[in-house]
Amino acid sequence: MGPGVPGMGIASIFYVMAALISPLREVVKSVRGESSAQRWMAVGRQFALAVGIVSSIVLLYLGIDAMVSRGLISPPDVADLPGHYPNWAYAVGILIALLLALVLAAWVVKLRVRWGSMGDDAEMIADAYRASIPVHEDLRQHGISKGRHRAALSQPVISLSVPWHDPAVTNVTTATDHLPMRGRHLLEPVSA
Amino acid sequence: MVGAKPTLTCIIPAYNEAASIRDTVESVLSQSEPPEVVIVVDDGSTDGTGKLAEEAGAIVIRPTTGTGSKAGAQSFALPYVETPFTMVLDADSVLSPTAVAELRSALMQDSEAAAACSFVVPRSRRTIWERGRYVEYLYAFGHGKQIQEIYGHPLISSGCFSMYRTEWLTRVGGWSTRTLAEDMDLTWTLYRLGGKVRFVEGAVCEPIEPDTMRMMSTQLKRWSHGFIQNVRVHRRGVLQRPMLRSIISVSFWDGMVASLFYLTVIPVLFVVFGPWALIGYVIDLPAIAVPVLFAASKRSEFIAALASLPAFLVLRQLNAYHMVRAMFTEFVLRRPFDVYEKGH
Repeated sequence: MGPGVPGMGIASIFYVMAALISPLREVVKSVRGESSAQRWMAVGRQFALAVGIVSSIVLLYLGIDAMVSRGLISPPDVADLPGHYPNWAYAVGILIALLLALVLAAWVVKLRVRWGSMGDDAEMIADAYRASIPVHEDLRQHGISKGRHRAALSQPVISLSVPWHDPAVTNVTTATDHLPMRGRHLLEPVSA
Repeated sequence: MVGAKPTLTCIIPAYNEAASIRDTVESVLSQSEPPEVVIVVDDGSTDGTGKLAEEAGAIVIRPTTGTGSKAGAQSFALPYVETPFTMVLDADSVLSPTAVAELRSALMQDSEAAAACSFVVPRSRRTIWERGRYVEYLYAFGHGKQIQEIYGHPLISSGCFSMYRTEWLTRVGGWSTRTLAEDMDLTWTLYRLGGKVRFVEGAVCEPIEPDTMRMMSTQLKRWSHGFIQNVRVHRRGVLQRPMLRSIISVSFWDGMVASLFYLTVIPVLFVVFGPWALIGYVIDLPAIAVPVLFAASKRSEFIAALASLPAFLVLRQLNAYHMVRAMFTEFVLRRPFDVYEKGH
């Protein structure tokens, strides 16, 4: 579950398991000198949260079980289900079946992809991505094609002594060509 | 200048954001370490957004014709960027005072990091939709995203506020419009190109979230289609990266299975077994409440989060509806949805 992606526990189980094993992973990273106190704090916090989540599920189960056994609530009749196993056995069975189905599906997808063309060359990826970026007509007029083309990215050319937030410099404009001179100095698109 | 921090340009795409643009620009300029340049792309606003942004202290550029999308507006501004770092911020968002400094530090500390993103929490919690989103964010950014960060693969560098090394943006050319979730597309492309993404918990972005069902539906429709479109675009490439592959897989399957479960299986079980089946809608609430209330406690918002939990259950059903609809449209009808509709 994440923003915009509903969930019912598959991702939660994944994150809980990831959090529970993260201390072991962090020990390995510590041995390699790749960890830090800050990382350990984050790992410890998420480990504690995972324990809290598991505890809440166990408590929920115990609570429902207690209410059912005292007759406060009556569950649906599941006597017709095969085997007459306890309810928790059905729950665990369904969970395991679901996880196995997911692993199998991932494996099938992986095989399919392995048989097909991977096409994961960096330039191909970048080219495919770039091809889907529209270039506005205003930029074309400045000679800008896909993205920008400038070599000296490591040398910021904006002069910080220029009061760029001076209202005189930054008149709202409908096209960059109409910017006042100092504004133009700052806002001319960087072309080749 | 030896030891100087890399300079930064802030791009704020804006379309009819008169109600919020001033707060946004002022929030950026009042940072402990403000960006050296703040550019607002006034993408054809008719409500005076550009003038307000200028008065607040931003440089305003306006394309002669609208770009038609947030990705288009951001890409329009990219050629004007001359600083090593670039950040993007939604025009309806405000930042915690040190947010920019924290993301800049994260990028400076990790030379392989192409992007850094922040904690996100809604600015307002008045309606049921904002409250539902509040819980969703507390869960996602307080738990899931933190584990993703521990394992080195935050799923998305959120579009509402992220910082990038400009050289990476230049390499890929900006923000693509091939999917409706441009932030997800860019993040996964950066991963595939070998870049890293960092999540910085201490930096907080507070956007205005949809406050009506109609606005929320517009946003969820875009997000659901965007997610599926990105899975299709990147399905081969992300398989190369085991942890990212796992995170995307569980999100995808969880989204698919849960949506179908809520909208079909539970109603059927309700008919067969009676009201007991309805427990399926709330059975995971305790497990969700633990990380949500923990994250809320850190913000001294325990009661607010507790009171908002029921709203999350409502939002989840709306989300499930849009996810199923997007699945049907994209996979069964094979009719990609490509109209960018603003929904905050």
